[in-house]
Formats: sequence, C-alpha cells, structure tokens
Amino acid sequence: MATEIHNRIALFRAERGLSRKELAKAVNVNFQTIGYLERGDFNASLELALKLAGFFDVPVEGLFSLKPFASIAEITRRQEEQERSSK
Amino acid sequence: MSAITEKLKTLYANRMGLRIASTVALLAYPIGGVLLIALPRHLEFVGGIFLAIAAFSFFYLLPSYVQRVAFLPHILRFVDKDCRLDELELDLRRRAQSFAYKVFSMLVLAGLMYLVLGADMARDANPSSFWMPTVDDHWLAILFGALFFVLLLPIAYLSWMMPEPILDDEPGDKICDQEVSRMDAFVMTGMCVGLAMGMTVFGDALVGMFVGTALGFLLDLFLRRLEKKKES
Repeated sequence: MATEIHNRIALFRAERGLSRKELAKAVNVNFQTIGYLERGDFNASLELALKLAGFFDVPVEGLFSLKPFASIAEITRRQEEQERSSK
Repeated sequence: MSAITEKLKTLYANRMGLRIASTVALLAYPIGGVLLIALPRHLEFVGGIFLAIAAFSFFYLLPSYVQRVAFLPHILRFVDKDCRLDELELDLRRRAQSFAYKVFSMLVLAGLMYLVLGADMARDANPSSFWMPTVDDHWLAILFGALFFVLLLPIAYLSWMMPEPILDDEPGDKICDQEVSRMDAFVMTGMCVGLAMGMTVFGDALVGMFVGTALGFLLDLFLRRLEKKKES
C-alpha cells in the first residue's frame, strides 16, 4: 500500500482564492486531479509536487509531508504561547 | 435541494450507471452465447436478447469519461492539443490495463484448457460430453467475445475503482465526469458496425472493420472542422 502523503494544497489554494480549475490549469492537470490530491486519494508525482510548490512559491516540504500538518488553530496557539513566553 | 447537491447526485448516478453497464455487459455476453448454444431453436431469441443487452451496455459506455481514460487514442493529440491525459489518468490507465491483462490472460488460459480437454475427450470415447466450437459462427462468437472483453475489462475496472468524482468549486461549472469523447465513440462504433457489415453484407470482416473505423474517424474530423468554422 502506498505511503500516505499529507498536503496543504486546499489551504494554499483557499488563501489565494483560486478554484480547482484555475490551479489545475496553472500546473497543467485535470481539475479532478487537484480535488483527488486535496482529498488524499492520489499522491502527486515529484514533477507535479515541484510544480505546485513552485506555483505557490513555497518549499516542497511546506506543501507535502509524510506526517500530518498541524491545523491553523494549533499553529496560532503555538505562536501565541511563544509570544507569551518571550515576553 | 441546492444546485450543488443536485450536481453531485448526477455525478454519482453517472458513475453508478457506468458500473452497472460494465458489469451487465461483461455478464450478458457469455450468458447470451451459452443460451444460444444450449437452448432449442425456437428459444434462441432469449440468448439474442442477452447479446442485445450486452451490445446496448457497450454502446452506453463508449462515449464515457472512463472509456476515454482507458483508451484515449494517441492520435487525438495531433487533432486537439488540449485532449490529453494527466498523470493521475495515465496512472489509472496503467492500473486498469494491468488488471485487464491479468483477467484476460486467465480467461484465455481457461478457454485453451477447455479446448484441449474437449479435443482429448472427443478423441477418446465421449464426444458429446464437451461442447466444442464447430462452425464459423461459434469461432466468430469467440472472437467477438475476446474483442468485447479486451475493450470492456479496463472500462469495468475504472468504473468501479476510480476515486469518487469531485465537483469543482467554480459556480456554473460543467460536469466533467461524464464528458463525451466523440471521436472514440465514432471510431469504435464505426469499427463495430463496419465489422458487422463486413461479415454480413460485404463478405469480408476485416475490410468492413477498416472502412468503418476510417469513416468514424473522418466523420469526427469533419464535425470538428465544422465546429471550428462556426466558432471563428
């Protein structure tokens, strides 16, 4: 069974206000493929992963990971804790 | 009910339709063939009904998205640059063809074993215990069955195993899961009709198949030209 690879495509896409179709056109795939990637039904090839990372201008490990990404709430909470402790 | 829910319902209904059609086609052809052989002459039409159901299901599957993923002719890339498969679709095609190869190989092996056993029995003592193809019609039915399974197995695999469809989040977007690949449909319909006409009218199945395929291809090219002229 293929290793599950987690990604934050949906998050980055929402942040940019893009539809699946627009993102799909930018990286030259079918819009359903973007949906399947977001849903975790399909793991991107290295080429597609690099294209997506390049499109969002983030390192590829910022977009894909073998471990689940922390949620936005979790990241915000950690940042607040860091700020509090630094004060 | 919201438009999105309606669209999703249509998508899932389409997928279910493909699943049912591919399964029915795969079952109906061999059942029809066996009934044609086993039933007395006045009941042969029952076998014919099963064959007609198989053919109807086959033609329902021809213009489907899964058929496009399984068999998109490479020649289409020269006609339409946008008409290509992406990496997910190519991966699905590889998996479908690998599955079809395994199943088809097993069926061919089973068929050959049956023929060897039948020939052996016929030589020994009891020729009536095994049915063996004897006339041209029997061999043609086997040939059509092989063709049918070669085309249908990858389509059936994709109908069942492709991930569930996803709706785009753009408002007013068209449903892409069931998009029609007209050239595939024309070419394959032309091939089948040509083969049938070749066998029955012209007396040469291969010439009929070739002419039918070419006509299907040319008809699609002609329609594409007309559409481009209209657009421009």
